[in-house]
Amino acid sequence: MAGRVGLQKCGFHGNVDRERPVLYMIQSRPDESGERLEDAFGRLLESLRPDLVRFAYWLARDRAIAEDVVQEAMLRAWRARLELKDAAAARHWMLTIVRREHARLYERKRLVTVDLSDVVAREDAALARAGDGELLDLRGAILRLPDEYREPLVMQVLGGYSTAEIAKEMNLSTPAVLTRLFRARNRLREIYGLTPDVDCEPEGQMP
Amino acid sequence: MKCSDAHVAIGAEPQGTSPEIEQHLRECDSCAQYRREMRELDTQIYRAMKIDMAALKADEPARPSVRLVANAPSASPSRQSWMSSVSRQWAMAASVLVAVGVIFVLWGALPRHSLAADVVAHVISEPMPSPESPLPSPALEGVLQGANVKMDPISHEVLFAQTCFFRGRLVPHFVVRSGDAAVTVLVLQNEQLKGPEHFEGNGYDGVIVPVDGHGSIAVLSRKRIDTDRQAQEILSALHFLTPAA
Repeated sequence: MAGRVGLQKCGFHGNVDRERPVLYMIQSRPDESGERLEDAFGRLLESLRPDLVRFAYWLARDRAIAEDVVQEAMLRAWRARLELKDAAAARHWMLTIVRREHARLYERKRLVTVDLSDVVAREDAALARAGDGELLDLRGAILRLPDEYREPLVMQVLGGYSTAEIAKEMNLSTPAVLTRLFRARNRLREIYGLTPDVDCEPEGQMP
Repeated sequence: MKCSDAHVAIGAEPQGTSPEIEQHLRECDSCAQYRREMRELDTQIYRAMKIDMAALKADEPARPSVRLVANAPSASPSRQSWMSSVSRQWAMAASVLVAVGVIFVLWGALPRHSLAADVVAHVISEPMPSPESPLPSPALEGVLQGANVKMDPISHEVLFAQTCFFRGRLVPHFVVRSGDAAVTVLVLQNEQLKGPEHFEGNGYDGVIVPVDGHGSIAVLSRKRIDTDRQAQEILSALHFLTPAA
């Protein structure tokens, strides 16, 4: 049977109920309908593309790089499609491939260093056209977050990763991830009109 | 639990909870307020990140403007003179009929228009390095092999070969040099057509040619070349190793 894509309500890195696509594919026997399974896998990847590009964008802060990263990630995923045993885990699996592909990009290519303020100004202008003007300041602040704070935040908020999963992916201790997440949000508090908390804890010294 | 510990735990995971935090919040209004604020902030962070990527790309030529080109020859001078000889009313009536005809033609052509647009969009988005020397033939063979396709030697130099993800499938994408033109070829084994489709847009001229039982191939170039001839040459060199559908 070919794969199917459905919508289902599920939690969002905790207990908030938000609508999010949950993808599942009914596995077919390769000897019986291998071709149809490939079709389903292709459709599955395409259905995930908007989420993946968005995730890559917040990691890379550049739309063109995000598209490239996702394209490479999809190629990798296609080649490794037989490794995906549980289609319900496809989204998480793909996000991890995208995140690794993004990290690999910086190992593989010597990207031109650009002024962060230029990046933020350019993306701010594009984000302004994307609507939700009230969120513009917050988006700019997220773009300005240093990589070490922005990446775990994006993984948690958009990717739905648990703290332990982020720690594993980023090769950090769980307390270090908690500290980075706290600091990321603490920097965003001020933008949102809230008093930032006093941060007196050295990284990793969490309760 | 100290307030500072509660703040860090809540700030890191506003949606998370634990017996220790819940116990602390019952006794500390300030930390309970802090959690409410952080949860609200977290909702806003999610909204801020959940941007519509399509809207973000609205200022870019995300989808190239590609139009199908009629295969029929252009209007002859005699037709033009006939047009000038009839009365204005007849010309207007004819215009209405032509417009209706065009609508019907475009209606029937819409899905294929989409394929041509996707082909051009893909080629535009694909970063192709400028090679100083032709690609060694094993590189192209490897790409084609992945799609169960073989190609006899052709008269053109191969400049680029890569497997690409296109419309949910992996497809061979290669570029050959024909004279001073770079000609891009996509082997689209899952895209069926009834007949050749010519298109132009975003500086590209091209044709998508059906391959009996094996989908189609797209051939396009930025230079004015005879894409039909190029397509036939490529097609005659290609061998599909899987049975025809």
